[in-house]
Amino acid sequence: MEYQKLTDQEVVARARKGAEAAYRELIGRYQRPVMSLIYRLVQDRELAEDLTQDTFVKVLNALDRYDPKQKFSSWIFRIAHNTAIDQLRKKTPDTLSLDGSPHATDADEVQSSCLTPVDTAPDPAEYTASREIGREIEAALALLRPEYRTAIILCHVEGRPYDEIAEIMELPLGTVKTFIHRARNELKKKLAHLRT
Amino acid sequence: MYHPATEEVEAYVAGSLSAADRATLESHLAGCPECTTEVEEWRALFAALAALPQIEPTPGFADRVMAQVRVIQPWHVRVAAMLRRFLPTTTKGWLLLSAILALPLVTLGGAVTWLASRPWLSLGDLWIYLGFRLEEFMAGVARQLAVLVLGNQTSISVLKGIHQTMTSIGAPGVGIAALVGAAVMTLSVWTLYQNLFRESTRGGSHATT
Repeated sequence: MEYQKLTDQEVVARARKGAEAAYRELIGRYQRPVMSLIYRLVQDRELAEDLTQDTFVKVLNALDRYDPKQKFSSWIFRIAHNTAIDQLRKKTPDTLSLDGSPHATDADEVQSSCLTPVDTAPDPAEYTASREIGREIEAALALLRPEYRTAIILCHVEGRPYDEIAEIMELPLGTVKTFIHRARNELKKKLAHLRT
Repeated sequence: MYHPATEEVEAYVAGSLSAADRATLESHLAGCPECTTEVEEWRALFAALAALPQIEPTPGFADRVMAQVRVIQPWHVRVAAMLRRFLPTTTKGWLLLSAILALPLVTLGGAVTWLASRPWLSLGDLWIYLGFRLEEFMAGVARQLAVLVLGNQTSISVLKGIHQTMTSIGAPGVGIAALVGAAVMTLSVWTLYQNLFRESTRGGSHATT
């Protein structure tokens, strides 16, 4: 079965008929976006993976209750956002690091807590520069309020429109626009030193 | 000198300005290096955000998720699984089931043979008698069903109509109707078999992520 060519709704319909391959297709499509969003909210790789796993288990076990009129992406991102926010209410987040957790006690732990970015620039010099900018942006993002972070990541990293972000975050459209505007301004101020 | 508000410049870079406002701002940008620099700053921020990498879970993630997921089973798969529990799995079991099911037929056959062997009853008489009783039984069942579904008065009219139709089309028509009925019945049984007893096609070549 060629699942790649099907829309999310069609894949969900097949999953609801009992096709395990359709479940795996949904995981394949959303594991990176969901993990990226959750990671940038909780800033702990291991915890982010656990929460991503929880999100998928919740979503896939509730497929029979999914309303096909709603976008599947909105539904899964909403569950991911709520799962991460619930976790943040329980625990103070660790400091973000692209080079592994600052609380790592040995080399293996440092390695296991490192980020695994999907894309890397081909040229080493470009890669180093983009890695440096990436580090600065990640650090600036980590200082934003979690709601601002979700809104800005969904808008700029995932390319979701404002109305879908409002649906995901269960907020009025105007509030989402305000969040994104404020988040951009805070990031611009925090990254001002890069331009000097 | 007039400068557009920073929100307006941000909206311009985000592409959310109206065509008229965009044109006004662009004509301003042509003569304002200060605002052009601000546009470049916003563009750099947008580009840096868009270039943020996505984070990949560790290998085997899909398997770990699927280990905790209960795949939905459609009703016909669940019914088939339930029925399969009652079906024998060995040749011996099938033989036993066949024998149990055949027992009434063997008994009936034995009774018919015994009756047919009596000198006071010929096989032809027995056939006519059984046919008569069967017809009476079927008519009784049909009447009861019709009354149950349609009510007393309507069922009488419907049954009369059926009887008249059967009389008018004659034996060949009834034969054709019986053949069509048999074909429909066979198709129904085949459909049930396909849905209830054929092995489910799930599993096999799943792409792991």
